[in-house]
Amino acid sequence: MQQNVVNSKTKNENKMKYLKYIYFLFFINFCLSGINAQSNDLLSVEETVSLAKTAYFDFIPEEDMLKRKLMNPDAKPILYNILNDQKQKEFWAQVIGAFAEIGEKEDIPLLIDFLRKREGMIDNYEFRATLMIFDVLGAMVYKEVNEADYVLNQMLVPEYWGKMNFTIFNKQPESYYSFENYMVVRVLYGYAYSKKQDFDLIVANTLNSIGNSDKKELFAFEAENIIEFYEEILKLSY
Amino acid sequence: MNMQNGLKNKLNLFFLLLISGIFIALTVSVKPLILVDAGDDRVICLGDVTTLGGNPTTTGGLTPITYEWTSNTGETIPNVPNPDVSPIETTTYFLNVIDADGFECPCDSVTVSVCALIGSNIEYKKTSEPNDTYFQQTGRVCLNDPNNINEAYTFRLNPAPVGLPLNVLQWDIWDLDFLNEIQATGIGSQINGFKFEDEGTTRVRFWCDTNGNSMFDAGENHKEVIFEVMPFNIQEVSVARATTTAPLTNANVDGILTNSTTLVHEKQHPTNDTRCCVRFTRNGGIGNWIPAPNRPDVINTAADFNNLNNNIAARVKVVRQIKWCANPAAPGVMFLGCTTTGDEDEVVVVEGTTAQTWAHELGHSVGLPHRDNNINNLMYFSSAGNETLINATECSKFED
Repeated sequence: MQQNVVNSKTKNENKMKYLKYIYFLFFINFCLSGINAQSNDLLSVEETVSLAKTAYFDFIPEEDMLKRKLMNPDAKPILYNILNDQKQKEFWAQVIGAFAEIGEKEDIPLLIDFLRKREGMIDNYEFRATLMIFDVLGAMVYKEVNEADYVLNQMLVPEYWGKMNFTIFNKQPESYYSFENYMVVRVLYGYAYSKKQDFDLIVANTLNSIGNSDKKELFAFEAENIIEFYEEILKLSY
Repeated sequence: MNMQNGLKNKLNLFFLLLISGIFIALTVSVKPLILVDAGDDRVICLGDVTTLGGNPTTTGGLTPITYEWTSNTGETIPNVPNPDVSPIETTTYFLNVIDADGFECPCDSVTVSVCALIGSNIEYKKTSEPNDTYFQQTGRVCLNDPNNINEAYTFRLNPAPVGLPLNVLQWDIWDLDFLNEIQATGIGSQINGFKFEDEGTTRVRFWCDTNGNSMFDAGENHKEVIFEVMPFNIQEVSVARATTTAPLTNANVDGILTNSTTLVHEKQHPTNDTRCCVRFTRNGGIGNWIPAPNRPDVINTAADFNNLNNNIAARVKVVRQIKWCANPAAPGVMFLGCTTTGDEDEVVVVEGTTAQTWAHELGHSVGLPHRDNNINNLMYFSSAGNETLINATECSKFED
């Protein structure tokens, strides 16, 4: 009888131990799910819009880089409204930049539409926004949005820019790229964000196709510079 | 008749006696007159002791006389003809006197006004800016301001002591460095239109001046602010732009530099901002460069940055875009400027940027790092257009 009591007690102790383990495992699981949930928590729409409008003087802290990854796609309608509001043109480039994080293939036509709406000699806000579109498309290619790759390849042809209704030069700068070639060069810098393995080939082919003899030196330097930029981009994680 | 006469005589005697009795009674009921004097109204400095009552406080009355002093602040002082008091605020004392026959006098009172500056601060602002905020802290004054005249300043005590005769509050302004000489003096709680003229340290002081109170009393009846007076440090800024950037006139640059000066010089916050004696001025006309590999209009790489700074002789270069500043910009992010910290000739800004960007980058050029504890700091890493605050350390870098 006494033995039975002891056995029963031991069983109970073992049961308690198992329960403790189970509780502990539940606790660990709860903590991990909490951390996981926290890391996946998106910013609110308001926070996203505020961050999307941020311009950086000359440095981006790591904390802001992490926050940008948590931008909320639900903010897109507001961001598009900003892009259609002349009074908010000072934010256009930054807002377009947000699509490097939240952009999807559905956003590409809207970004192209922004380009098509530019007319005449564009101001510096429109110019910055235009260049930012190339960066965003490059980042989308990195995220395997094939449509972005297709559009960038279209943009690497000078004639693409000849069909646009805007220009960036009051007067063609002496011994400098034409508007069309200038835009192609700028597209290449944006394309570098794709981190494509054959990027050097793309650069070489593009510049060879548009470079002529009197601009040879210019294009040769640009090719080196773009590759140098690309190699720096490869070190970035995003 | 006789009886009538006799009765008449008796009645006359009765009235005579009655009138005499009333006269005697009236004579007996009149008491000696008491004159009461609580003393003259007066002003004292906080902490001073003053004696109430007159000399004497009562005249007449039947002794012993009881004195009851009460005040509007609830104080009671029993049975002293000339009490010493030291109120901490302006107080009215009421005197009631009762003599031995229980006769109470008509009351007298005396008001003791207290001049105390303990709760007041000296504030100052530029006289020319009526809506300018008054600031409390120790001041910095820059001689030879951007309008090329020495600004006039208004000083005031806030809160100003009330209910005091005008000449009780006095002020003076001393140059403490050179000859330790007084520059101005006056009465009242406000000084209007004072112009600092000498570099160094100047003291602005208010104090309560009642009889016997020293003007050098450093206690609670005295407030002073020390101003550091110094000349503007002129930061000359030469500017060049790529010909592909938007047109930029001398007037445009002057506007940006004036606004940059305002950001650094004007005090925007009573404690978190410093009035820095710095003025940015344009040095020469705006240079132009035609973009080329060794002088690009977009900064994509370290090579671009170095080429531009090595080949364009201007402190600030205006370009179309900056995608590299020590590191490449992450996708979707753009930089407004880029500067080699501590190198006054390597400042690059994007076309169309405002004074915030120019002042921020010029800050880097004099050696300032980022200061990210307040989004309104001029040296905050990002721009929302409200970056105005600089601290004393940053200011000294601009002024060196």
